Amino acid sequence: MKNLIIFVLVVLLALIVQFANAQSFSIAMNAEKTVSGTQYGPALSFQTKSNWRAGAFYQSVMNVRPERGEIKSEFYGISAAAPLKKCDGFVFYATFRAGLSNNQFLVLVPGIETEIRLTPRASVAFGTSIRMQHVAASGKLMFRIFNNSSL
Amino acid sequence: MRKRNINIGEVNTIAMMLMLLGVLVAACEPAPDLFQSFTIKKGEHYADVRFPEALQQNTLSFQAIFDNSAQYDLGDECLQTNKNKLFGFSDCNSMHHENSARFAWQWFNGQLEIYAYCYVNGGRTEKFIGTVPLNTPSNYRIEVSGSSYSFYLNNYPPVTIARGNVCDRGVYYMLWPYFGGSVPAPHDVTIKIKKLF
Repeated sequence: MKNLIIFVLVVLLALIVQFANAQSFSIAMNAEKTVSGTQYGPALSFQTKSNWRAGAFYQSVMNVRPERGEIKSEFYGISAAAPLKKCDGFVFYATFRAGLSNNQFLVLVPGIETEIRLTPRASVAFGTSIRMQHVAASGKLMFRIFNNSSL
Repeated sequence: MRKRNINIGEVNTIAMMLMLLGVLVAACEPAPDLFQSFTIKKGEHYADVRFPEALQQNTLSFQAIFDNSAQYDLGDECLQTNKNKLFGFSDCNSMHHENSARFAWQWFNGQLEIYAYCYVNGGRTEKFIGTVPLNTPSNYRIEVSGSSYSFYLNNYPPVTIARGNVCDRGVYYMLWPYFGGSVPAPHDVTIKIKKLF
């Protein structure tokens, strides 16, 4: 129990440090078309001044299979994005997600993403990644809740 | 040289043109053959090298087609009943000789027999499920639950095998076609597999 409390405190401290250094904190709505269906869900992330991003996500889909009826498929975990190139409101990222599929199966997802800034607070992102050994396409609508300057 | 900024209107126009182009190209594209072909060469056990892959759902569902190369005679009944592995997965963070679930096959009595083939806490369990015709797709499914593996083949009754003591969360790596047993393929053997999602 003591170890758990120490672990939680360390994680919280790390988050606070990251949070304080973050340029922006954003929420997003994701849609990802995979070979097994289109998953939707929210994501939270912070972004540093140098455009590195880290956060957490959740997405799910309800599939109907003739032999098994309705099956809910979930995928949640943590995400990170490294900026590769930035120009005129576009930022190209290499992305990486790690998490659990159906609360059971460890999944690692490499990908690439293009973010287009629409306004200072809103942007859209389109990406492609490898899910279940097939190409998946994703779209994301992101809103910055606040920037450092507004804190 | 003056730098030119792209405005939102231009971005929208480009996006619309790309989407239209995508629709036009997709409309002309023939439907892909999603069967993957695995050839186990004469004298080999494994088929072609593949990237590692892990199960991401509690069901592994696929179709498989065996052609005439699935017929073989090893000249010894004991060797002939060695199970060749078709497709399956290792269980949570286990090596496949500890905990795993696969379909297996053998050519015996002039027919292609399909088995449920599991390692449970290091012990091997095999159960006959049914036979499948050559050159015809058959439906296979393994469902993993908290305490058991359930094997489904076409319209045969499901076969259930108790699961070992394994974790719940982790890596379930895929196990691809393998010929043997101890004896390698006597000739090239080709199996086509299409994963279903």
